[in-house]
Amino acid sequence: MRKFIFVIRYALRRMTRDAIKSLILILVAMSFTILISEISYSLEKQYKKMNEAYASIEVEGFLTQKDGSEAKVYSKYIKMFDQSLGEYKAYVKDICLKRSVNYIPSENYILQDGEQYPSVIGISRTKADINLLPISGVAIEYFENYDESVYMTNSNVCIVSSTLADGTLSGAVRVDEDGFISIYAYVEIATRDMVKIPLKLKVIGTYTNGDKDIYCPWPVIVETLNTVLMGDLYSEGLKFTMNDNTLIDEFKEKASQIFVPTGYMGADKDKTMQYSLTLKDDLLIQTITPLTKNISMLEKVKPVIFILSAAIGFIACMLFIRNRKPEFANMRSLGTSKGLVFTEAIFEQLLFGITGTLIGIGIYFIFHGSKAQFIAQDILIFIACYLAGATIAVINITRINVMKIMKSNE
Amino acid sequence: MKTEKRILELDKVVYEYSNKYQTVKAVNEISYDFQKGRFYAIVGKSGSGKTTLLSLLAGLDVPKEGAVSYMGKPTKEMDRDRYRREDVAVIYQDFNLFPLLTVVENVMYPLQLKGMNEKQAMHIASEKINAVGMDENFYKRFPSMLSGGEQQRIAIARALASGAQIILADEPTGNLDTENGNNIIDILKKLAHDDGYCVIVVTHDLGISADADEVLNMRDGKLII
Repeated sequence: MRKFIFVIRYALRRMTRDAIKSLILILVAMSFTILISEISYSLEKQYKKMNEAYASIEVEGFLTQKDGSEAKVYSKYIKMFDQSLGEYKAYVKDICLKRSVNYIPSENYILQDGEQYPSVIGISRTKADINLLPISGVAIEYFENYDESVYMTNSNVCIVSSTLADGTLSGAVRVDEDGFISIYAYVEIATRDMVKIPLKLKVIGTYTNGDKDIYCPWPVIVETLNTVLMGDLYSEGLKFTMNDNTLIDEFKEKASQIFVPTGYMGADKDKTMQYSLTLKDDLLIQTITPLTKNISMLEKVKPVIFILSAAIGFIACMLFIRNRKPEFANMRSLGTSKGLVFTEAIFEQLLFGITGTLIGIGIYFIFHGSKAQFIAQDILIFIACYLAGATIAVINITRINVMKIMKSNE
Repeated sequence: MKTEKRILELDKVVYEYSNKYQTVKAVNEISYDFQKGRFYAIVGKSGSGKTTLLSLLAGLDVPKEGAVSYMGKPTKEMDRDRYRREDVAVIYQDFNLFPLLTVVENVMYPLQLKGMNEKQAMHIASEKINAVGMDENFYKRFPSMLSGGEQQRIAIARALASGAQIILADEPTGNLDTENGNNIIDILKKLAHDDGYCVIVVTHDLGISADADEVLNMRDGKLII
């Protein structure tokens, strides 16, 4: 143990007295540490941006006819997407369903010339109808204790246009003192007869820029129609949002088993129905593609840098100890074992490597401040590679033939 | 009496160097006994095998045939690192001091290598430095700050510090002027005759061989007595 401590002390003495060479080797290790830290930092940043893009960019999808036109979506397909039932529930959220039904404000109401039937529209989300979107210049205001979540319940509630609510719209239904409106859904049944189904809905909010159309929860319309229609109920469209964008390829793969690509006009019996599934993922792809390229490049550069670290460790070490063969021979002739000579030389390299690395890490943190992340794994791989290179050089140099060195003096 | 003083024996020692073109017998069946308290000179032309023989005596390698024995035990069978650390010391033409260690640290090296603590090693090192005629003003100097003669004295001090009974010197005066060379030889002779060391000097210098108790003349790897 004393011998070991002695050679370590010898190494330390040597290093401090041969300061310039020591400093150069420390600078080499430091530079590579900064380089590897910077690469890892950039990589982390790219991954972070990609994760942010996946999390923040909304990818919407919708079902259409094969030719891309709006499709009526029947219950079987609604169930396929429904979050509580369907096989896609892990992939999708915010499913938008919509069904419009004509209504009349009173049982015996007769339409004036040129007057159109107004609609009572069942929606699962306000996004289901373009006429309620901010993009159409529409603002929705809910009364106290109500919000968007009400559209997934079977509560007999609705929102109406602000002009209908304040009673200024001629020929429109009136809101009573208790805040309710009473209308008759006007539905054509299988026999082609028209039936009137009374509906009493509590007004829970208003929307701007509208007229007589009334929006109620999707289940309310479904229940209402179920009282008179026996057939399969449909939604006038089906829109959804991707739940987790990282699963988009997996979802596309699954969906391709059932739906045909948009614009597909051939007959394909295996594709079950006539629907196409379209994902509006252009923005996501535009954002992700350059990030993926950067990540791929940096991931390729990293092992190259590690290999280079080993090479630099080898070359730097070789350059700085190759002229020390006589010194090592002298040590051996004084009875220093091969192991101790190796220990002395490798300890120096270890100390250069670690000191340089620590300074490099310090500079990296000073440069990046609080944004810096400590990439311990990469640093450890770097040190391992650097020292592996240095070790090969040390083994090479310390395997001296003392006799040969002495013989050269003869 | 002669048998009791015998410290190092060569018994039909053969050593060869080989490369892909030829094999050279640098040492060819040499037998000889070295004794404590005597000063030996090994002389011969360049390439005669003197330094190879010295290296074998120093335990830097072992003979291909025959044996080099220290106190009756062949170097082949012993821990040669320990042998070099404790039983034999070598002085070189170009001094071979550690350039980044001070004078006193150089002399302490073999002591600390044996596991001695710094205080004890310092005490012994200063004694040995004084023994070769240098004082404490030299302790903290680096070898590059010393003359050739001073460096060789430090090399001798280091050899003495190791506690070895055999001192091997390879052209110890080769890089020194006559006066310094004579001083070094005087020290080595004194070590052999007064302190009982076995001193073996490899040299070209006929003056040194004239001072030696015994001269071993080497030619083509063979000993001509």
